This record gives sequence, C-alpha cells and structure tokens, in this order.
Amino acid sequence: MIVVAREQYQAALDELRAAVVALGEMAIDQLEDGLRALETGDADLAREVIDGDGAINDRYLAIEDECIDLLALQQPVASDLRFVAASFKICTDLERVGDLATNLGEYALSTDGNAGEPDVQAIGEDARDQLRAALDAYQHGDAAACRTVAARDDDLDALCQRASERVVRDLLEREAGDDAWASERILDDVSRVLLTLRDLERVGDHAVNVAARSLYMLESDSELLY
Amino acid sequence: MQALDGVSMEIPAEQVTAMIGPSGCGKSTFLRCINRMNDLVEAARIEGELLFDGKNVYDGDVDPVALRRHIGMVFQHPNPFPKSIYDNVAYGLRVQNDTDNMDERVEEALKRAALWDEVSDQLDKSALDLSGGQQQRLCIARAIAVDPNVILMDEPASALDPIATSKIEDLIEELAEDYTVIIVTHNMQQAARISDKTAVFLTGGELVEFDDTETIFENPEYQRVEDYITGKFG
Repeated sequence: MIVVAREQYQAALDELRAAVVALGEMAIDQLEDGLRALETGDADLAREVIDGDGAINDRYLAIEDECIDLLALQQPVASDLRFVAASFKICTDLERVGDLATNLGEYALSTDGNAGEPDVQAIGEDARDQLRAALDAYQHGDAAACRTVAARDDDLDALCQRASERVVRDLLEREAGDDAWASERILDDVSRVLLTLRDLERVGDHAVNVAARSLYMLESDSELLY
Repeated sequence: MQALDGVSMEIPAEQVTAMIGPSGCGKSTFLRCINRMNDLVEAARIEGELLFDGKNVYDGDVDPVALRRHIGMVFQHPNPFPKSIYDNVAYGLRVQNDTDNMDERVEEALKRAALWDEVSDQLDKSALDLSGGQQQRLCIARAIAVDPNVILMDEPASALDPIATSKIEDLIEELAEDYTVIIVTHNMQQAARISDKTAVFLTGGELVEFDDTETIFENPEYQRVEDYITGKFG
C-alpha cells in the first residue's frame, strides 16, 4: 500500500492542475467568443471578449505565484518538479491565447460583421480543437495525445498558408480587373483577414507548446520542445 | 539480520557521491564498510568486494588503520579532541610520525576546511570552545591534514544551523576538487545541491538506483525511488 505523506503538498499540486485547466477553459471560451463575434459582427460580444482578458491575466499571475510558492516552500522533485515546471510554462501559453482572442474581438469591432473569409471560422475551430486536445492531454496525462497535437499542427499551418495566399490572390485579381477598386476599406479588410489567420495559426503554436511541455512533464521527453 | 543486499556501484573519484534513503535502509552501514569501520562491530560479517584503487579493502593483507589514513571520516556530531585547535589538526600527522613542516600543513588544512580566517589568531585555544559549525569544519581539517584520497561524511551538517550548514556544503564542493567525497544525508535537498551522483537505498539495505544527481531528482528510473523522493512511500 502506498502511503501518501505531505497531504497538503499533494493537495496543492492537485489545485495547481485544476487552476491551469480552468485557465485553459477560460482561454478556449474567449477564443470561441472572439470567433463568434468575428462571424456575426456582434459588437457587445466583441467588447465582452476584450474586457474578459483581465480575468485571464489575473488567473495567470495567480498560477505563477502558486508555482513559485511550491518551488520555494515544497521543493518538488522528479515528476512533481516536471509537473510544476510544465505548469509554469503552460500558463504563459494559455494567457497568450487569451491575448489572441482579444485581437479577434478588436478585429470584429473594426468590421461590419463580414470578415470576408469563410475559411476563418473553420480554421478557428481547428485551432480551438488543437488547444482543447493539448489541455486534455495535460489534464489526463496522455503522452500519445501530446504527440498527436504536435503532428497535426502542420495541417493547421498549411490551412492558414493556403487561406492567406487565396486572400492575397483575390486582392491581386480584383486590382487587375477594376482600376477604381483600390479603396482603403478593402485593403483594411484584407489586412484584417491576414492578421486573423496569423493569430489563429499562433493559437495552434501555443497548443503545440502546451503539448510539448505536457510530454516533458509526463516522460521527461523534450522531443517536442523547440 | 542482513543489513545490505545487492549493492554494486562505481563511485567516481574527485566527485561528490550522496547516499540517501529512509532510516534503517543501510546507507550509513555501507558508508562504514568503505573504511572498515564495521570491523569494530562484533559479529558483523561482510561478503563481496570493495575495491579501492583496484585493491579489495577486505583482503587479508590490508591494515584497516592504514586504510583509514587514505579514507577519512567525518561524523554527524562534531567530535574534536579536548585539545587545542592546533593539536586537533596535527593529531593525525603526529600519530603517523610525519611532523615535517607541521605549522604549514596545519595552516593548509585549516584553510582548505575554510576555518583558517576564523581561528588563525587562536590556535592554542581549546577546540571545545568553537561553535558547532566551526567544530565540524575543524574535524574536516583534521581529516584532510593527513591528505587522504577519500572523505566519508555521515550526516555532517544535520546538527548544524542553516548558515553553518551552507558553509559545510560550500566546503564539500571545494573539497571535491581534490578528494573523493561520499556523504550520507537525510536531507534530500542537500544531496541535490551538492552531489554529482546519488545512490538511493531503500528498506532492506538494497541499493535501488544510482545515477547522476540530476537524473535521480528530475527523472528517476524506478517508481520506488520516485515515490520515496516525492514523499510517497509504501
């Protein structure tokens, strides 16, 4: 029978895991709301997303404090050490996803509700699914899922790349066919779509980071870190 | 009863090797095997080989007293002789009738033990008047005065306050530039801080894992070691 000593310490580790997962849920909610605001042009929802970033930042800082307290006061070792180190890094990625969701809210406010690029929603859902899978892998300690997230990132990158090229190609073709067309408004729309695609691609990168740190946590394997 | 079982390890020269494990796991018993301190325990029986520079220290032609000149020892509680600071350090040299340049060698040993600056103007003072931390460094100076190859330390800082402990820890790292240091400690953070290699003994006198200290504390191979160092034990 395994006797678990240091019960408060074990409870603190469990609480840290729950706090990181909760931060991840908040980031995913923000991402989904940002995508919906972009799709529908719902200005109230967009402002909610922008205002909601403060809560994510607060929780992120609280998790950092908790990690530092655990390191200073409990001196975790072995798998516990890797768990705290991974959590410390993962919460930064999740906070950055919150910032990117805020960007989506900003883009939604600067358009009339038509982002002009149908791929954005599908790509956004892919990025969200990647983040969800990485967070689940962290929560449940699933090393195989970590590797799957990393492998799938190339697909997301390719989707973003193709969508960006299409947007630029459309712009060039329209410019060639219509001399009077080159209005600042359309350029703004194109820039916004490109920025949106870049941000969603970065959400995917953060999902990979979460998976990479989780794999290190589980197997002391840094193969996915770069 | 069998105190040790399945202990096979290669202790690197001029590095710090730490031995950790729960009380009664045999780590101190093993430490005392290295310079045959267990010879003093009646009814103790030893099987196997313990090679020092390729020579089995349990061979019949090995003189345990001579062996201990090469493999010195520092204990948990500082045990200076009730003599002056100078005489404590000079003791081993006098016993060996090796008294050339005595003053220089006493000074050198005290410097190496990071005690010289604190006692250089009071060498005639009784060693018993020193603080606990100073007494322990004096015992280290006494051990290194005879220029051993190996220094065994059995919980050398467990009776000391944090400041005295950190002085001993700094000293151990410096000593490892010239000596092989083997330390038994109950303080796992101390083992992590100062050692290059760590051996984990668990109940029954079994050496379960021996590896680089980073590996033991970041990613041990055996679940029993993981459970022990993270505070779960069965």
